[in-house]
Amino acid sequence: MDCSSVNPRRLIGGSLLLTTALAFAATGCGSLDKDAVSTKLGEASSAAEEGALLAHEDATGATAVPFVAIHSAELHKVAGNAAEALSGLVGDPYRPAAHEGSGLARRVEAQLEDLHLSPDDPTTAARVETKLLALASQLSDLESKL
Amino acid sequence: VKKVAEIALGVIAAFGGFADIGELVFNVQAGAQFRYQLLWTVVIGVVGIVLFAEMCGRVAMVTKRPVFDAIRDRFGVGVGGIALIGSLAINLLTVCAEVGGVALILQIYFQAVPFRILLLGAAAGLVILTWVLPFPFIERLFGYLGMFLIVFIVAAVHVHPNWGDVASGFVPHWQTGQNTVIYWYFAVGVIAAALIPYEVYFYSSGAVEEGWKPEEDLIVNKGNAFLGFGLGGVISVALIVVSAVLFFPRQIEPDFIGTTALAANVPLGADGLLFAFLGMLFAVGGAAVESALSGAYCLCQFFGWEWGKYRRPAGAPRFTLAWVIFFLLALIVILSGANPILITEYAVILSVVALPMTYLPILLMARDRNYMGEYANGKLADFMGWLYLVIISIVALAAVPLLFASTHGAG
Repeated sequence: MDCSSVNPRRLIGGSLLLTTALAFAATGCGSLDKDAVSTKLGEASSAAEEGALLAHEDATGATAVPFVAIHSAELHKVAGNAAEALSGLVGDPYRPAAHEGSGLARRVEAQLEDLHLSPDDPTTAARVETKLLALASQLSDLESKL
Repeated sequence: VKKVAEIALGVIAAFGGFADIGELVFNVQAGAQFRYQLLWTVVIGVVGIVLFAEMCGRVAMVTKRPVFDAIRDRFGVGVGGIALIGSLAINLLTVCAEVGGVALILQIYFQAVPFRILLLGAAAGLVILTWVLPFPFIERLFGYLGMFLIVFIVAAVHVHPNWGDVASGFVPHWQTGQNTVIYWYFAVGVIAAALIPYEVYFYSSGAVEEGWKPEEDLIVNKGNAFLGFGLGGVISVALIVVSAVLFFPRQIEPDFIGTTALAANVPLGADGLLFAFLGMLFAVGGAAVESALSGAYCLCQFFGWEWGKYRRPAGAPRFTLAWVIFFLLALIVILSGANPILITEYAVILSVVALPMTYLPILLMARDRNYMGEYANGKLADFMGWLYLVIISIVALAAVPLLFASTHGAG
């Protein structure tokens, strides 16, 4: 098979361009309508529920401290991003719910920060678990009322 | 006895090497969002990879022509070149996802080390291992140690799912109404994660690397494909089951590799977490090496350059340079701040788009008696081969619209 008519550099260059385009496409954006508010409340609730699960394992000594520290930091970021997005809503009929959700998400963020900063303290973990479960419940209620 | 041991070792390596970051991400997300409803898609994906791998291995064994040699032969340089560009791009995305995934997994136990240092260490370690280890050691080291992923099977049993509900998940479910787009996005994702093409490029090139002969190794090929990949599918099922029990009721949206680790941690404690860490580390590390080598295989086989790990680096300089560049580009992309999990989702979904172009020439070659002689497809293999071409084509056509319509599964 004669491949002399094909320039390998062009093919490789084409592949790189395609990959770059796909990598840039791997970012998302959206507006804060009802679905967006619901999505952000869901994200905050999910972070709270998962944080509670993680805190429970931590409180019972059934996990590894570095894992608690890193995973609580990841969930903390999710809750923080959700709070930020919800607080940015202006002039929308869902603003009160978004405002309340933002406050709840900030509290989730604070609890996860506590867990991140004291991953080796079972007492903190037990307290964080209880609070996160309550916050998750409030966020779910708020989402269902939209 | 020697042949039985060879088959068993190959099956173990294929089993342990089956799962990669695609399964670890997509299957856990699928279980968390749709409980057991997407289990049937695992079967579609696993049967597909078994068929494709068996045909590729057989073709490579008989003709000594791995996948991209066959593509150039059947499609010519023009259309084959398009398939090559698509495959190289997808392979690069996959290497990015896997290398970034290794660094994310390392964070589970090395949280104090900055992510970028872990990433550099992971990339350097993978390059060194790929450079130093001969082909069979690469395949087996990562495959055998990837067996730690069995922890997810143990976890799935330990969470006591309702087995009747699990069984009903294997019956195809036609979702309509709410979440339809997201459901089909994950259906495509779970199928694509099992069918991700680098595994087949690596597998068929491996048949040539290891000098398989049809009269001796046909059974090894069948064993690896049917048992190895087939059993690997059990890990995929377990990931969905454990996620369905732990995350679905709590409406947890798994967006991190740590959530997958938590799926073993919660039912099995700290030991479960350790086993999950080791299994994921070696499975994803192995996938990084395999996908980088696969990119180099595709490129060199298409252009007729010297290739193979069985040659010294100086004996196949373009091949060696190609896989090193794949690792370097992946390192640059992830260091630039790209999210490995998001890249995984794109790599998995987009890989299925290029799949028909690599699957068709292998099917045509596997059934061609002029090439394959007595080793050509039988009637059943032919029927299944064409059936899967239809399935793969439908999935390929649906993949990109679903990716954007569902905002990559976020709704």
